[in-house]
Amino acid sequence: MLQLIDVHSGYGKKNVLQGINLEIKTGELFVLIGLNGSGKSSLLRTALGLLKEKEGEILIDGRNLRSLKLSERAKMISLLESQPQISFAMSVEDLMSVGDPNLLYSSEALRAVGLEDSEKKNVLNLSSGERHRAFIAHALATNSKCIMLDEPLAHLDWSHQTQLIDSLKAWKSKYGTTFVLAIHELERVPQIADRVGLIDGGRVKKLGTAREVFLSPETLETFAFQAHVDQNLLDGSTRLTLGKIKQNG
Amino acid sequence: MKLKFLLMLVFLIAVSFWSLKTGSTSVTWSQIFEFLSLSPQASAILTQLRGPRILSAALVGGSLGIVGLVFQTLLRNPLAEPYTLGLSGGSSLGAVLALNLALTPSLFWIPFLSTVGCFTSAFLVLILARRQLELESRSLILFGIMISLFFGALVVTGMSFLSPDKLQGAMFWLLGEFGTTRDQWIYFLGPMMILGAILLIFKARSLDVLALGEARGLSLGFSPQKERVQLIIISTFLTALGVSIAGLIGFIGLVTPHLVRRFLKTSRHKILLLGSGLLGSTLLIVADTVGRTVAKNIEVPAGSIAALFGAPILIYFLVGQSHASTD
Repeated sequence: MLQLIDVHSGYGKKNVLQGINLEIKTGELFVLIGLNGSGKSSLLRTALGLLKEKEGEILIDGRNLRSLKLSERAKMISLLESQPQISFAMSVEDLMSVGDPNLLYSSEALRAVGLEDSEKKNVLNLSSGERHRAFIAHALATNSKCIMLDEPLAHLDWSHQTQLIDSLKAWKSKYGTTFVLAIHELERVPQIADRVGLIDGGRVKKLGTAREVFLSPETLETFAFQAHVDQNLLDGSTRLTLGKIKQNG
Repeated sequence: MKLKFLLMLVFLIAVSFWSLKTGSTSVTWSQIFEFLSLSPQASAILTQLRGPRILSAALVGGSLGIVGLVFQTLLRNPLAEPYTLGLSGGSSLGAVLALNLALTPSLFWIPFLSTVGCFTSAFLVLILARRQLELESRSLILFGIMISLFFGALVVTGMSFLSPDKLQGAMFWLLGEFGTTRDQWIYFLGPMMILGAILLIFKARSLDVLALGEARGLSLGFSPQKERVQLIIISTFLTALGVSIAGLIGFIGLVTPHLVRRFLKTSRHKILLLGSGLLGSTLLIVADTVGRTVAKNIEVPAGSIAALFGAPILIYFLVGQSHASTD
């Protein structure tokens, strides 16, 4: 679906991405983890084409990103950045109509984030979590084949995080959408991710299932914690516990 | 929504007729409606003086409202408008330059140099803002105001070289006035202004999308850069044409979009653009009419009246907004 081949990009002369090689498969839910400033957001912005790649190539379904018409590109790939903002009053209903997405998707997307009864509310008056969910609903409603969400769980309480995770999974299995999420809530990752990519210093440092990545020395080194994945015997789900092992490097 | 639009339209028409009727020479309603049986004097007042004057105020006000809305959305800044961005300042510098050099025909040179000045300002503000900060940052307005003050100083310097009779004209122009011989220019510049406004209204969808930021814009198939350049070019051009006729008029472009957002309670730009056009026209006609009738034999420039009422309204909004954001 999405392929980044030796991609370098950044702001001004500074390169944030230093040779990203990554292939994301159709219909998978891919999660990017990494510290602040590691290049997760820049990777998403570059994959969208918002940040121009200085070297390397981005392919979508085998075609170069730059060779696609903007309208075609939008059908293939979209991004919701972290902390989306608007400057003027706008109802949730109006937000959902921007870019004329399919009405069916709109109402389904609002249900998916639990805002189906908030259509008339002003987005500016929503709580930060609700506002974030409204934007996620808009991102879902436009229904590109690959939807990238930067920090979708930020600002959400535990139960809304769970609801959103379930909704994204349901959306994925219904429409076959490919999701790329950048996430800081590591304890949520095993529950969401088909595959995980650890980004550090603008490079992909480790790639694999959540279990593989969390148990790798690379993750240990990056986050300076010990990750311990055990099988919860009661419900059979994978649970991750994190314990800090190093104080001073 | 349709009812509200109708209301705005009726209001605009009513204000136009009121403006036609009032003035130092009174014209009765029956004279206005029985157009054919007008006395030569009343006819001259309506068709040569007040008619073009009201038309000028309507088109300049309407385009200020529309351009103000475009800049506010584009820069995601509630304080953006041609005046605060320094565009009007650059524009008036160009116009005064044309006046100083006594270039003829002025119908060409004033709008032309005014446009050049306006683009120079736009370019400067955007370059400065881009180098220093994010385009959407509030500091943009600071740059705009600095450029405005700088060009204002240049204008005053340029005006110092004018002969006293020209000085009077140039001075009033800087304050934003109608009722000069330039009102007649509306017949030439008006169609271009209407065309510009129509082009902007056709861009309503891209404004809807850009209001959500660059990433959403690109995700919905719009190139933020390309759309922004197009919108800025059309808006800058409209601003320059307005300044060529009426000089510097602030606050109409700033306050109109805020009022329209509140009244129409929508964020769809097609509706907001049309509404801002209607309300901008209405407000400037009112400002001009009040200015020329507030005292006998005295004309207060429309720009001053607009600022007198616009500034408090804006402060009221800003105070209200800061309360809302702390809730």
